[in-house]
Amino acid sequence: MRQVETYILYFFLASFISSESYGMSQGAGIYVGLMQQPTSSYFHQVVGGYADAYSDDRSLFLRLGRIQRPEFRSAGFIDQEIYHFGMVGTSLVGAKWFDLEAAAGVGQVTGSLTPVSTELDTRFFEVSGSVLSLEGKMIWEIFEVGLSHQLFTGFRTQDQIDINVVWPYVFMQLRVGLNYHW
Amino acid sequence: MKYLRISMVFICFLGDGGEALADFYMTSFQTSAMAPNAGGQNAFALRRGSNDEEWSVFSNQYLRTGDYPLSGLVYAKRFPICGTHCFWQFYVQTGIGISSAGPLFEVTWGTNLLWLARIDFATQAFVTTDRLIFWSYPLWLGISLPL
Repeated sequence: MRQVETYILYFFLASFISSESYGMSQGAGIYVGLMQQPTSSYFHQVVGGYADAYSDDRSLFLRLGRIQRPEFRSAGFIDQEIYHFGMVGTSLVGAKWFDLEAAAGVGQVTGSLTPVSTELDTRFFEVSGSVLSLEGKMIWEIFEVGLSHQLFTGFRTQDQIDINVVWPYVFMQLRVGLNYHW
Repeated sequence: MKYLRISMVFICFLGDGGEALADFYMTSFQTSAMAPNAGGQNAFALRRGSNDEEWSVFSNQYLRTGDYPLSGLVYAKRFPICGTHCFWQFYVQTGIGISSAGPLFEVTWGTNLLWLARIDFATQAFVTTDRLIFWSYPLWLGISLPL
C-alpha cells in the first residue's frame, strides 16, 4: 500500500508543477466520518487524508485519498480496513461560497482479521471496485468544508455474479481542507 | 407524438446539445438490484422525472417492515451532469421521502442510456425510532421511456 501513497505524492507534485500552465489549483485535507460495511448495519469511525487538483472553473477535479478504519478489537478478533480511492468529478452548482460535486472513480478496500486467542493466522482480504461520490461543500477563501457520501461497490467475481451479490461500502464523511492556486 | 419528442431530443444532441428540455419527462420502471447477500434484491420502483426533479414510489421485497415489504415515496432534486439533451444521460439526485420504516433521505447516481436502459446506484437512509439505517441499491436495473 505504500505505493499508493507514493502515487498520491507524485500526482500532487505533477499537479503543482503544471498548475501555471493549465489553470489549476491544488488542495489537501482530512476526512472524518463513518463507514458501513457490506453486510453490517453498524457504523465504524474512519479517518483519512486526500490530495486533489481543480481546474480554475471547477468544472473538473481529480482527488486521491486514503481512509482508514482504525484497528478494532471485538469478540476475540482484531480487525482493520484501509480504503484507497481515486476519482474524477465536476461541479454541479458552482456558487462562490457553496458547491455540490459529483465524482466517479475506482477504489480498493483491504483489510485484515486476526484471532486474538488462537494460533490461527491473520486473514487478509482485498476488494477492488467503483466509487461514486456526492458532496456538498462550503468555500471560504482557500478553506473548504464538505459533507460527502461515497458508495464503493466491489467489482464482482463470477461466483458473485451467479448469485447476484455485490459488496457495497457506504462512507459518510466530513472533509476539511485547503485549496490554493499557487 | 412520442416519436416526435424522441427525434427532437436526438437532433438536439447531434447539434451539440442545445439546452436540456426542462419539460421533457421520462417514466422509469426498475425491478431488481444487486445486494450484499446472496440472491440480490427484488426492489421495484416507478419513477417519473424531468431534467430537474423526480417523483418515485418504491417497494423492496427483500427488506420487511413488520409483515410487509419496505415501501415508500420519494421526491428528488436532480442535478444533471449530462441532461435530457444527451443520448446517454448522467445525473445525481438528492431526495427526501416517507416510507413504512420512517422518513428517508436518498442519494442516487443514475444513468439513462438511449432513453431505454436505466441503471442506478442508490443509497437510502431511513430515520427509524432508535437509529439511522443506510441501505444501498448497487446496479438497480430498469427501463426508461420518454412518456
